[in-house]
Amino acid sequence: MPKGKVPPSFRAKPGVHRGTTPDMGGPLLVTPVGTTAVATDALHALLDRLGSLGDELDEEARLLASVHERAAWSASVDVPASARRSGWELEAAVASVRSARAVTRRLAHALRSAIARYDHAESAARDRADRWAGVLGAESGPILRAMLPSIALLGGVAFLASKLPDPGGARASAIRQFFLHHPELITGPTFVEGVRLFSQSLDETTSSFLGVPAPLAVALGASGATGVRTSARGLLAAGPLVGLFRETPVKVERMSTTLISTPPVGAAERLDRVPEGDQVRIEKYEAPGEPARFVVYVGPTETFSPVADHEPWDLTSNVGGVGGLDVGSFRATELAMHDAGIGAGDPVQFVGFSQGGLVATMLAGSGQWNAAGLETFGAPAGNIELPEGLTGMAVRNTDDFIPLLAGPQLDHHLLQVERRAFAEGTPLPTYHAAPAHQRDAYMATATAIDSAASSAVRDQNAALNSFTADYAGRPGAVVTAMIYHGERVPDASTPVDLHGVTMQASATSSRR
Amino acid sequence: MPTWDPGALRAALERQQNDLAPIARVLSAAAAYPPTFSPDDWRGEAADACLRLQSELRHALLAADRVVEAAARDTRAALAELGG
Repeated sequence: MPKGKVPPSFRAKPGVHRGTTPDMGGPLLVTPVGTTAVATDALHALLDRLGSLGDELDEEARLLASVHERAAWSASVDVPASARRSGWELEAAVASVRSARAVTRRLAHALRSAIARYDHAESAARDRADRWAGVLGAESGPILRAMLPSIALLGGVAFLASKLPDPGGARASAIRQFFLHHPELITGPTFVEGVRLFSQSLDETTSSFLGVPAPLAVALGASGATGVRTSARGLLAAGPLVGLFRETPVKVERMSTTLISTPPVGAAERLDRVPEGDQVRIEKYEAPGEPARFVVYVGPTETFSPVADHEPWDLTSNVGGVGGLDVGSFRATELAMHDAGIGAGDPVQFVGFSQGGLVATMLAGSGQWNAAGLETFGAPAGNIELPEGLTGMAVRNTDDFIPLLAGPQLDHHLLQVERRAFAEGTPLPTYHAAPAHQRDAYMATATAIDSAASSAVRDQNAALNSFTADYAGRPGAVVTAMIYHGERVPDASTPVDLHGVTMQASATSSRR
Repeated sequence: MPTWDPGALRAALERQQNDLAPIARVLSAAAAYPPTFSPDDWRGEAADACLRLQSELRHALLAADRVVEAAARDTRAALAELGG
């Protein structure tokens, strides 16, 4: 993919807003596997460069020393003066190159220290904010309970208002227009930080609301006994009482099977293959004499209705997925995978956007599949523990609040790549209330990832590319794309027995 | 004090010239394009020390480049003086 270019199919896709471009956003921020320190892609690239320069200088110093050793004429009187000078200069060159090597090492060390210092300062500030949010949440119960009648009254009024006639949908349209014209209300680092703090303190707030004394609520929150996952499960338990968040069985249908010739190259092309409407795309890569490989692309939320109807990619799956349960979209994707012939031992690369990223992460972390790679865009999946050695990256826009709905990033087994979709001062587009979560905003970030300079990003991108390119390039290779549509089966007589499919990453690993 | 047979000296200087050429190329490229970072890429304070070291590295690379270039130049001059 040429630098800064988006895939042709994305440009040609009808109905996809294409107003967000890579140059509207900020720099790429990179958190390598196993660390919590965030630094720009450019700084990581500089560290790469310093590392290779150091190696080069080591080698040149060694070669120069060897040349100097052979120049045994420095003290000879019967050689030209210039030959003698060259000997002295060689001696000075060895020292000079070694000195440059030492400065290179010091600079790399200073950069790493500065990155670590910045990370520590940022983590400390974040921890302080988290503690205050937790204390506030733990003390909020009595106030919330006192406000309950007012909240219920307001809710009732809002409910009744929603039932009033709305000729031509004017009221709904006015509300929609208001949010469209004020995307700044829910887009930007400040709102995202608010969502993070809210999700962090949700456990203490819920405990306090239920009458748990503040110190115990704080202790429960700190122990990890409660959390976003518990709150989501609580919502799923209470919702069905009023007809919301009711899980159902699901079914899938294969809509098409086509032979394709080219594998995706780069993050932008992979994101471009994530389907919508029909929610799952599976590519099967076969090469003579080799076991088949698969790429499973999982689409985003199709409806935000809290009432489970026929669409498995709905709010019920979002809430249940954050709760770590085997929700409709997860089960539908697994059905599609079984239909595509994916066995437990077959290597699979998962790619997903938004809810699709959540499902992809759940699948990769479930231990039921041979996950070889994972790439997610804007996925609320930071609380899912992933296996070690997984190739890929989790991509988030820092002005997109959706990923933070699952709480902070707890797992550090996957490269984390972040970027502000709309840099400070960039006018926000008004085609959507949350433009930083839209596909084109992530396409801009994916395009920036394809132009990344650091080995931390380039190596993972290359590994994801080679998973498919290795096979597709061989003589006799066959690549098949299968498209699936999933549906809920709401009227099934068999009740759904939901299971937790993933583990919550240890809260002690969280520094972010 | 060793004495040198002109033929042996010429051969040794030619080898030195050949050995120095790739080293000079590497150091010249490193001095021409030293690693630099933009303050825009810096997320935080404490960049001053890194900027100072970056400047020190640029000077060190230039110094290394110049001295190797001088050695190569004097090697060429010695060969020219030996003639033939």
